[in-house]
Formats: sequence, C-alpha cells, structure tokens
Amino acid sequence: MENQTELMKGFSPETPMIPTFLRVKEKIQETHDTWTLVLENLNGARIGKFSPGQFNMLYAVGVGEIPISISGDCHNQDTLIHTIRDVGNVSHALCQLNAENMVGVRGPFGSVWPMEKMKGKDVIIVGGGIGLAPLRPAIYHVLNHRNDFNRLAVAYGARAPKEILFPKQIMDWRSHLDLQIRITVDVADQNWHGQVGVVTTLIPRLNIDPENGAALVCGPEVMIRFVTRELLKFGIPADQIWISMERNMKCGIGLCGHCQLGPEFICKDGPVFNYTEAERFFRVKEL
Amino acid sequence: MTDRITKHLSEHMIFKGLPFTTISDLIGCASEKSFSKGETIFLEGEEANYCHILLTGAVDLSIHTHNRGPIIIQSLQAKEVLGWSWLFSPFIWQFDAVAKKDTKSIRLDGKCIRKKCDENPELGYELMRRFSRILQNRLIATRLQLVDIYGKSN
Repeated sequence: MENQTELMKGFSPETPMIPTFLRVKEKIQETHDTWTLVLENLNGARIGKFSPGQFNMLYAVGVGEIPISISGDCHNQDTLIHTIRDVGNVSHALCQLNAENMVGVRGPFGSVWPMEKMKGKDVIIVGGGIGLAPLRPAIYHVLNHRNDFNRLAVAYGARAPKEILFPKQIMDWRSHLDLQIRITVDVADQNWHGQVGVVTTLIPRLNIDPENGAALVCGPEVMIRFVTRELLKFGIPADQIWISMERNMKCGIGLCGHCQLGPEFICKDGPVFNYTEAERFFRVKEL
Repeated sequence: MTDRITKHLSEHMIFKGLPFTTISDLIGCASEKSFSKGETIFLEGEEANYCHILLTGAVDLSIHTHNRGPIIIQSLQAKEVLGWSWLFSPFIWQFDAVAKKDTKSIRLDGKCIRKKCDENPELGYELMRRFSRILQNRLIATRLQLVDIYGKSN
C-alpha cells in the first residue's frame, strides 16, 4: 500500500477517537434506500486531505458510529461526500439526516486505491451495488489526471435498474469519449433497455489490454471473489488487482480488533488490499 | 459471403484453432442473418434447430410471465453465442429471444452440425468441450444471480 503518513493527516489526525462535527450541506437521494450526504465545516474552512479508497467513521448523535467510504472527489476539499445505504440502525439514522443537521466524523482512515502504481496502465474499475461509492473517488482521480493513465473502463452491476447508483453521474461519464462504462442489472423488466446479467459477464467485453491492465474492485465479498476470478481469466495479473474489503469496525485505527481479518486489521491495513494479499482470506470460511 | 463466414467462424472462440479444413466443412451449416430491433428470433416452445454467433447488436433472452409480462434474464452481445437447445433433445427453445438492437449473426444449423459431429466424433468432442465452457460460464452467472448478492445483508 502507498505511504499512509501524509494521507492520514486528515481533519482530526491528532485526536483520532474524537469526532469533528460537520454540517449536512446537502442530502441527495440516490436510490430508494441510499442517500448521499454532502458535509461541510461549520466555519466554512476546508475539510482537509483525503485519498481515493479511504473511509470515515460517521457518528449519528445518540445512535452510533459506522465506517462509511468517502464517495466524493478528493480534489474538492470544500466538502466531504459520503454515500450511505440504509441497512441498519446507524445507517438508518444517518439517512434520516437533513440539511443543517450535524454529523460526527472521525478520519480519514485506511489504505488507498493505488493511483500512483496504476499510472500508464489500462484501468478497470469494477463495482457492484453500493460498492461503486468507494470507487467513485478513483474514477474522479483518473478523469482529473487523464494523461497519467491509458484506457479507463468502468463495469458496474446492480440488482435492478432502480438500484443503480449515481445515475446522473453515470450519464455524465458516458459523455466522456475516453471512458468505457458498462452497466448490467441482475433483474429487469421490459422497460429496461440495458444489459441484463451479473457483473462478471461485462469483463470479457471490455476493450482493455489485460497485460497492461490494473483493476480496482469493490462490492459484496461474494461478488469480489467471482469478479477477481474473471479478471484473472481475462488476463489481468494477480498483483494488478486491488479490492476493498468490509468488516464491522469500531475504533478505525487498529486498536480494538473488531475488524480483524486473519493478521490484518481492515481499518488500518485495509480496506484496500492487493489481491495477492487478500486472496488467502477468501478461502477461509467464517473469517 | 463464404469468405466472411469463414473469417468470423475462425476468429470466434468456439472455432478458433480448429483446422481450416474442419471450419471449411462447417461453413455448409452456416448462413448470415439479420434481425431488426424488436424482432423475435425464437420463442419458447418452438423447435430449436439453430444457434447464432452474434456479430453485432444485442439480444435479450426472456421468460414470459402471466402477471409480470416478459422478464429479461440475460442480454447477449456481439461475439456471444445465442441458443443451446439445438444441442439437446427434445430440441425445444426454453426462452424467448428478441433483438434488443439491429443485430447481425452467423446462424448455424443445429441438425447439420449434429450430423457432422456424429460422423466425426473427434470434432463432436472438441465442439462439445468448447460449448460446455460457455455453458459453465452461463451457469456460474445464473447462480450468482440467484444469490442476490446486492440484497441487504440483514
């Protein structure tokens, strides 16, 4: 992973267990159960530095705290953007927040997508469901530094058309002539004119040179397992595949052990791992 | 036209690497087809005597349901193979196939291919092995669809 020292100097680096309170500037409904919160500092100061792949611990006052990946553009440090799916008590409370409400934020934490290592390569970004959110900063990064990378392909799978994340953003990306974006849904009715099938089926269709390819993958763990197999079959070298893992987290700084996966702490050593490091965990059930 | 078909077949994963004489022999089972957007290619329950190697366009496979209308179960695109039922008795299509876009394909006559495979078991084994690989990928994809991997974990 890239050197974290600089990247960890976020908005609360000296007191990592004490949240900074940010104000909800805007709330955007993405799907029927997913919202994006745009957060800003109370005094209008800049948010601070973060990198693609990192996450924050978001605290819903009086309810609890959960890790949520940063889904915004790292070049925009005026706001902090998180996309949250309403699946549990804390995420539900966060999704209930409105503009002007306050959110406790600790971070940014964790390892980052290896944007430096991917320079000069064909970049494949594979997301499933809410997994597109942690990948979005990487897509922004490639688009902001387009000359540093070769071809860019985004393959995204969702359960159904109405559950596609960032639809407006995807429309915008589609206007980029140098970005391949392919979307598929698992289930569709006749009103859907796009692709139907699982996300793995998109990979052989990408116009990418696998030998010079590097892939970033995020989504449900079972999806990651099958996508990585398909990427390997496609010819992407194992050490050029990075994945983002998820586990329950508490402290976010590798002290409490809640997110331990074998010898690794997802919060500190991850969430982004190279496939060659993480592959062994896939074969251990209930880890 | 024959040259075009030969080129398409010899470059396709199903036939790639087969001896030129074998591909030439199979050309007699192949023809070019075009479908307009929205055109039905085959319907569930009809006799299945063909498969298509898609060259351009896209095709939706669907199941018609009484209360929900057609449910699309898979989309196929250029270079993919449409149709398996010609391989297995009773040779009846299991789904509906409709062109999602204007589509061109190489249509392979199933009866013709089966006859050649019966006459040449070595070719039959090789083709079955290659078609089985695609079937395996489809089965894996179908199982993933069944898992509902994007569903809420709780």
